[in-house]
Amino acid sequence: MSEPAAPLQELEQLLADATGAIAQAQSAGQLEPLRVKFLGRKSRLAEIMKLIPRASPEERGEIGKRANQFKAAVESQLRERTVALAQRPTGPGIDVTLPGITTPQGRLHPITSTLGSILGLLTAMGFETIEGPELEYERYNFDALNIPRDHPSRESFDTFFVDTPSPEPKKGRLLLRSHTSPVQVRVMEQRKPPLRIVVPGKVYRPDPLDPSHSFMFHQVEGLMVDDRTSFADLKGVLDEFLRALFGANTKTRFRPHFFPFTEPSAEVDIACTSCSGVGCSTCGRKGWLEIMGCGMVHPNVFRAVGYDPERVQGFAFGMGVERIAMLKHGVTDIRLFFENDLRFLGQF
Amino acid sequence: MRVPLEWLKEHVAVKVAPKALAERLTLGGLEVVGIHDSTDGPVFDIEITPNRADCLSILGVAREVAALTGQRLKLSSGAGGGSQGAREKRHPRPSPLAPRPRIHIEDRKGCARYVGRLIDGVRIGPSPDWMQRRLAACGVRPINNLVDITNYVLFEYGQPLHAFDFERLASGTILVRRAQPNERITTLDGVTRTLTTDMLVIADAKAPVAVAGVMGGAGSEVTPQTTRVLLESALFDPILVRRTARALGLASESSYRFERGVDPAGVEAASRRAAALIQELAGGAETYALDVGAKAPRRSAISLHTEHIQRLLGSSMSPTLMRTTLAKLSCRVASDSSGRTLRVEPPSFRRDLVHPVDLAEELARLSGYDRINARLPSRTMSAGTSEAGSRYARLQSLRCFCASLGLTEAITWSLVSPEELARCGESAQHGLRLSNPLSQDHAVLRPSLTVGLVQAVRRNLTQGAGGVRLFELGAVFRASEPSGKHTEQLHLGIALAGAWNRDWQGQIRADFFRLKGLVASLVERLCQAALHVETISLPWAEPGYGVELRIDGRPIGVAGQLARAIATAWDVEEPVWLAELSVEALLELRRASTTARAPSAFPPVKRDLSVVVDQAVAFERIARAVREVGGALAGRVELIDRYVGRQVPEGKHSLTFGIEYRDASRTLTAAEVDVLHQRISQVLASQFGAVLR
Repeated sequence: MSEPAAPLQELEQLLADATGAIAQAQSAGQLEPLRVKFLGRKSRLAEIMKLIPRASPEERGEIGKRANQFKAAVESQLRERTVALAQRPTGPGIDVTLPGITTPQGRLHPITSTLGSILGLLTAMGFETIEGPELEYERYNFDALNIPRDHPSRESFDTFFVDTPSPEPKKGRLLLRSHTSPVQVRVMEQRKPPLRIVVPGKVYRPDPLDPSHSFMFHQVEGLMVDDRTSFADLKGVLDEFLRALFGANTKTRFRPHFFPFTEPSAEVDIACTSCSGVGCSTCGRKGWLEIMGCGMVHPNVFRAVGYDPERVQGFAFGMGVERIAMLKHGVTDIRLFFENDLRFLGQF
Repeated sequence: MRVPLEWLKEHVAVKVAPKALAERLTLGGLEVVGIHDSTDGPVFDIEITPNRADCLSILGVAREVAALTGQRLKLSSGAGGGSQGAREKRHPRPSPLAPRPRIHIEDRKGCARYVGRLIDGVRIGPSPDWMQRRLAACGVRPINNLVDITNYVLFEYGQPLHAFDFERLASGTILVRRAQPNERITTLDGVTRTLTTDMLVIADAKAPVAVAGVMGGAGSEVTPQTTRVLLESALFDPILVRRTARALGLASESSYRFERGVDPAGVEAASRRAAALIQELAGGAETYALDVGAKAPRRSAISLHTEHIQRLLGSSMSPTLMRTTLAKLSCRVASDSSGRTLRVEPPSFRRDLVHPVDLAEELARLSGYDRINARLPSRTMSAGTSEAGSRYARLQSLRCFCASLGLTEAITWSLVSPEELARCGESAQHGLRLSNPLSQDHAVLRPSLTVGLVQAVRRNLTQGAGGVRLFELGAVFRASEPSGKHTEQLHLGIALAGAWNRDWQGQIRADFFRLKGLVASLVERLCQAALHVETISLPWAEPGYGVELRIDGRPIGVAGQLARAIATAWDVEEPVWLAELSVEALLELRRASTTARAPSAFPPVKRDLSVVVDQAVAFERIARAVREVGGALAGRVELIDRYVGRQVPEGKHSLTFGIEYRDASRTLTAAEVDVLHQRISQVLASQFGAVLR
């Protein structure tokens, strides 16, 4: 072996030494001496470089190339180690797997959030949200809505009456409203068409508590009245609303029904959300879920509020909020909404 | 209403499968809620809405099936199951031996018409099997041939009938009149009932023998010994029957139909049908037929503007189609020369068809609601600028803000028990009571949110919750004696108990200051105002722990710790913290918008001030003094530490204020801040005996 072979072997050995030393360095301060040792003016590299002019022309190129490679390799290792050391914790460190500290979380009741989605959609469609009293007069709850006294249609609206003389006997007895429709009357008495309103709120009916009945629940009522709103518009608005609420593929059907305050009247079904219309326990094997009632406002209701039924027409609709919340969240017992158990409320 | 398919088929041809028929009926407005099996085939369970009294019979449903499926009604309605005979006898032959019944209507308003038929020589026994099976399918127990026939015709024609044992009617007399005060009758169910003058009865020469339209009396009922029968088919006033049935707590198939309205033109037909069946199945012969009262008046026609219907339905249905559709429903239709206005005379059995809109529904449902094309209305836009409209948005953001403070929303019962109200120290006399509560547990309208929130707290603690943080936004109701006026107001309630927050770094317990801080945050955020509190005595609060909440001197609510005695009565060990605010007050004091100020460009000088002062001196007085002396330059004054312990004398505490001095227009010098800072401590020393630490 001629002498110039030795520098190449030495460079190899030096690279191994440098790699080991750099990896063991525990601080930036320990890296600087290593740079000096391996790359400085007095390093073995510097001495090998000095030998290059004396080497044979063919070896000269090889040694120069290897020396540059060595230099680049060491510099790169020094850089990487510097970065790695900078990122190391200075103290004893932490167990990052310990639980994070949470801020106490509050939540909205599922009925409030369901109401929020319903009203959000209807507001976007141009309906204005209005509220009315829960303590109501017979006139607004019944009479003005074309539900006369001693008429069997009152039977569908069993009602809690309040045991106190009515302060306004002309408006009949005081009661807890059995639906949100009285607010229609109150608004129409005060405003002229065109009207587009939605009314959310609590309503009361003397139904004993069981998994599907509660004496207190929530409704949303809608009313749109002007000189041309038709049954076709009613179908369009409710189709659009139900698709927005239950998904773009929601199928609806309108079934003739009876409500004293609308004519024609309809009940609206959607194809069962659980079985898509095949029939299951959620829909009572019918394939359809009854979701709301609606119809064209009855001329007698218009007359009761002083509108001219020859000049105005429009629709009204109403739905139970608990029912929609139960369908959307798979809740099978309505009482859960009023027990206020944080383990239930915390899921929404 | 139960409808056996084979009985229905006697009146109309059914050419589709039962399921398809059910679907057609449902989409036509007669919702089939179930199909049951019987020995004679499927039985439909149909929900008849209160307006469709005409469908409370097999014949009525058959008419509907005919209209919906385009079939013709079979007019041979005399068949009656497997029976061939039962032909109507139009000309009764009075027997010289038979006594002549006397029928008189005294109350013409209560009873417009009364048809009585006397059938002599009947033999009481069981009715034939086919009739018993049909009645059973309709949910009625067979009794004897006479009673069964009246029930059978009731289900078939929808006309309630009654059979009296004629021998048991004093003087053979039927008198339709109001009951006399305290008159009594024992009805067929064996109950003796006291009647009032608001009730209509059928009486003989002596006493009531039936409650008109509701139930017959036991004294005149058909027995196995009966041979002479007086068959009643009458038209009673719906409202009178309804009031009577309600007052007596007695509902029957008969009252159910009268309340909803029976076909005034069907009274005689049903009577003839029943008489024919009696003679066929129980023997005997009709000897007298008496028809008292007015014949059904002709219906007034409805004027139908076809353009109005098109506009209402949003449909282009042609006047011709309207005519043919209404004709299918047995309406008599004529049109004016233009063909655009129809004169529609509904059949006697469709008492629900009164307004043009009633006909609109008929037209829409017969062609199918699905045939009306949905469309979205295009209208002018409105930003919903009314005050009422924005109120709800404000309430929603109030709810969201409460949730963002860490509170979970509860919805508790608006109806509470008087006993629980009392247990919360509230007098039930402020609460409005229900006159017909379901139970005492929910008999009073809540005068405050306290009961509901305490219940919710207890439930969660019992279920092992370490801490409870709840809010509720709901109406509360109060009666004010003696004016009878009542109020309904929206309140915001907050309830805290146990840990406010607990994690592995420690626990923060709910306490008065946590509660006060929550309310202060709300007030600050909503009204941009400072919260003040004043100790008051509250019926539910622990003495010394109850406060009135105020903004600028105006009361907005109350807060405090639930009295320990009350908590114990509710089996709650943890201290419970409650606040209840008037939402109206919060909304009224709401600051609608803010005018923003750019922050000062000049740096603040921060100084702390620690003083030892008597605990009896209210903090707020000291803080106010600091602010007053500091004036405009003391931009922010905060309590940053409070210390009670060995390093301060008994009965005193050390308070440390962090004060930020700044001026909007220049940099303050250390010297001028020192002077001001010193003056503050001097004032605290002289006013409150505070000692600088």
